[in-house]
Amino acid sequence: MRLGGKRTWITLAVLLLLLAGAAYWAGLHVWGSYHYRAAEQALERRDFPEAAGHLKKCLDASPSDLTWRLAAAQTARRQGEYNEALEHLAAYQQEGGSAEALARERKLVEAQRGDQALIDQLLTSCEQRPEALETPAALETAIEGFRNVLRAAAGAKPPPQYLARLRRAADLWLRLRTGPADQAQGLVWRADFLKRADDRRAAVADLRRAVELDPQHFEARLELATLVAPEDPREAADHLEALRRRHPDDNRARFLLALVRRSLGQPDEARQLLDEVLASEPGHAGALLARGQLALDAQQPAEAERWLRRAWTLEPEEPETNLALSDCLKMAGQADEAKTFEDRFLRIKAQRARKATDPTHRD
Amino acid sequence: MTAPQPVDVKTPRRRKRAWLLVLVALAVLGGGAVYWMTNSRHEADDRPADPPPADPPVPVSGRPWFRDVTEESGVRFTCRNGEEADNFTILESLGGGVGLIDYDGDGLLDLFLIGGGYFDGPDRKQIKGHSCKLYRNLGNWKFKDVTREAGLDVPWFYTHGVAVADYDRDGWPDLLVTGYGRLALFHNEPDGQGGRHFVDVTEKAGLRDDLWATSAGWADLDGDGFPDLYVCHYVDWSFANDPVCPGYVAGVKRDVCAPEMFKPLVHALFRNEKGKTFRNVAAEQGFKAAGNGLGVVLADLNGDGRPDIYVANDATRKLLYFNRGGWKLEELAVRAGAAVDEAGRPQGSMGVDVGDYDGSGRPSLWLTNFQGDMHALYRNLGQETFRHQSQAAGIAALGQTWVGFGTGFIDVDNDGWEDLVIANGHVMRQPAWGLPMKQRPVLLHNGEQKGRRFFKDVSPQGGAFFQTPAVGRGLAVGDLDNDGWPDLVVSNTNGGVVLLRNEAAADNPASWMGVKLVGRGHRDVVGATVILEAEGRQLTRFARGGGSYLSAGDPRLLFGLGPSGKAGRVTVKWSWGESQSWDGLAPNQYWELREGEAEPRRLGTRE
Repeated sequence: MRLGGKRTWITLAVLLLLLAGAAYWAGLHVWGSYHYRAAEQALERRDFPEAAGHLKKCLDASPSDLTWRLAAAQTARRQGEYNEALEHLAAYQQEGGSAEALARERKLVEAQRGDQALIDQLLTSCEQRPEALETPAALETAIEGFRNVLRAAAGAKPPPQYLARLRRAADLWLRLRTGPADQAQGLVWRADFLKRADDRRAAVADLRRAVELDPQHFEARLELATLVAPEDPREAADHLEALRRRHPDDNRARFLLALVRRSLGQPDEARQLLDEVLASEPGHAGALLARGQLALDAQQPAEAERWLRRAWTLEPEEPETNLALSDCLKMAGQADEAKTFEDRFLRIKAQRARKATDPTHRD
Repeated sequence: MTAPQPVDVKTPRRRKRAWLLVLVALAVLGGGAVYWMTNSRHEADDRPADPPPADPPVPVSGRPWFRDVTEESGVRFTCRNGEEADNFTILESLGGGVGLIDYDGDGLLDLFLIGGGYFDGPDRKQIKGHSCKLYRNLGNWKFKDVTREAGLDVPWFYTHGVAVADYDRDGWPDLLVTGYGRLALFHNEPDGQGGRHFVDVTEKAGLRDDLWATSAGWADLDGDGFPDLYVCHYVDWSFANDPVCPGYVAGVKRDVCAPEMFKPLVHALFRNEKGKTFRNVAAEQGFKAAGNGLGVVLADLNGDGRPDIYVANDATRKLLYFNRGGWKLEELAVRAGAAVDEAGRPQGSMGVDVGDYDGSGRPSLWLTNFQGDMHALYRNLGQETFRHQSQAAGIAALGQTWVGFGTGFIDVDNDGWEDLVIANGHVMRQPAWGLPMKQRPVLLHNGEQKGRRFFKDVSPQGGAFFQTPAVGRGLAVGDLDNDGWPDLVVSNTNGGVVLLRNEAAADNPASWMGVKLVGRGHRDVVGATVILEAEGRQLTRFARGGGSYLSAGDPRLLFGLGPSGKAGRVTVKWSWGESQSWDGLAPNQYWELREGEAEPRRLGTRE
């Protein structure tokens, strides 16, 4: 064979084209597999945003892959992105995904969104079949779903027996899921239920363990800081500083840290943090109130009034804001207007006291 | 025609080999890449956790400021609460106080100690009292039990508090004792042998009170010179109203009930009828059952020369009565900003005091509170306005794990700035949050931070006592050895009374001046304000009734002068009276300043 021959070149070109095609196809698969594997690892760490990013790359490479599509739907649900989860499930259905898997996942989405009946169903199934393959996913969904129910009914106190049931669910999760991230998450859940059951000491112990297992667990550290702040504001400040270093723009950590700094008698630091919160979220009523209170501490009623009136506009029924505004106006020598806010504060407090003691009261 | 070129037979083989090598290399690289891509772990961001930086401990420099001298003092006494009956009553939670009273006029403060009580009978539901004790101060930190000689060896009821005043203006301090369902007033009289003793005049004086009385305080509220009496009442507990309360931590079946389980009681205000009898004018004053009263302090809070009343209530709003004269008391705690905390919540308040912590010349209010609340410092802004300043003043940094009772402003190191002391101890046997029942006392030093007054926990500097957990209740501040350095007496429930000698002088070369006020015709002086000018500073102290918790402190006023030791003019704004000034008073000395008399009197000797 002569290398310089025409036929040879043509053959080589065809071969190269075939090779390129095969390489492209293999590359896509490899690329997708690589990201799927990366997504699985991120899920092990419960890093849902990162997992979602990898799964997106998988689906970019192969939109019709049913495994990847279902994984993307599950990840979106676990992340709390329910609409996105449903979109993935719609695509999954269109591509001919398993009807059984589809129904199960849709049920999980609804449960996690806070469907109490589905949550109860899931808990019952977990209690009856703790060793079943689907139990961890069901536990996670039921627990997160119930926490969403509680978030929606802010201030509501669940019955102790239900809290005990959820605590048992968290215990089962901790038994089944032994990876550090899952353990940390299970401890955070259990701490939440313990806290709601007024077992603060056990809640703090769980959160401390969670932070040990997963020092970067945002919720664990934030909750721990929140719980220990009244007992030991210095420790709370340390946790919140750690969070702030990693999440400098997170207003939850920033706001709480501002309050803690104030309680440590560090008004300058608190003021700066609150200004940062308000720069990114001008309608943060808590930050406006705290900013006003700092100004009152410094006996600057004119400045305080500016902040407090903004806070009051946002939350006119907040007793603390009315009281602060009353104090502020008194300090400014505006006794008459101060009295109106004082009266308002007393009225709101009286209403709330009646509400708390009246079993027949309904909103 | 050219001859054919010889063919290099090695070339195609070399090329083939080269191709092969390239393919193998590509395969190896590709395979490696694929393996790496599919098998390598994607490590999380493994930056190490940020360890919480340790809080720097408060340095202890020099000798501790206080030394426990109980053992050598001869005082061996414990206030008991009867918890051994396991009734879990709320009655057990209050404990007892300490009274400092120079009952024999020898210039040394004696100790009156509350005994508490117990439960007797077959069902252990008969409420009985332990004996209270009077210890005479012999000097040199020696005390002698003189209860019997002093006429106080009487059948006692379940006692809590003590308040001291010369109610009949005979020039001798008398004793009031509070407790469950009773008050007792003891008149200080000559014993016929050159000494003094007490005579129970409760009935004679018409001082009837069958409610649960806790702290009490005296002050002349109507300007007639005779001190009137405010008595805090707690709640409507009795064995007929004694619910079983579940514990506050998981697995604890029973614990002491919280005050919210009961109804508050109307507090009593006894008008002193010329030193002869008392009449409860609470109804006339329109008092309501609005507070679970535990602490009261009386002082001139608005600078009008009349004593006002501030009441620490447990789990209900504080009460602040401004005295408008002519028996007009105006309750304005909410208006004044001293009823609730910054969040608008009533705190569980126990101990109370007033002091000029910020050098403003105005009395700020100080309260010790329950777990979950921060202790409250209400800064007096003037014009009957207060500002909750616990956060700005560093108090909140203590955290909210404390259950504070006896307390007081005290210039421990005589630097001219009033510090704070707190006796702590829980009321629940197994408190929430997993806290222990016994808690250590706290000593807060009033220093400066960025141009403002700031309290810092310096308890280690206070000595071993401040490192020892106890169920602290009553606390009295007073100079027991007349050395110008304020000492402490603390009553721990079931744990003994502790005497703490102030030894801060050893490492703090500071001067001081002490003042004893005597009103014209021995009229009551509570509500007077004393201002000492010292090198550009004005030190202001307030004559007050009540204060702390169930306790009565040194009625004299101490001024720390710092290292310079220079004292200028002393001005007394007498309650219901005029101002009067004295110049040239020497430091390191107690002075008796008498209303209307230009000449000050040098008092006692320094031990």
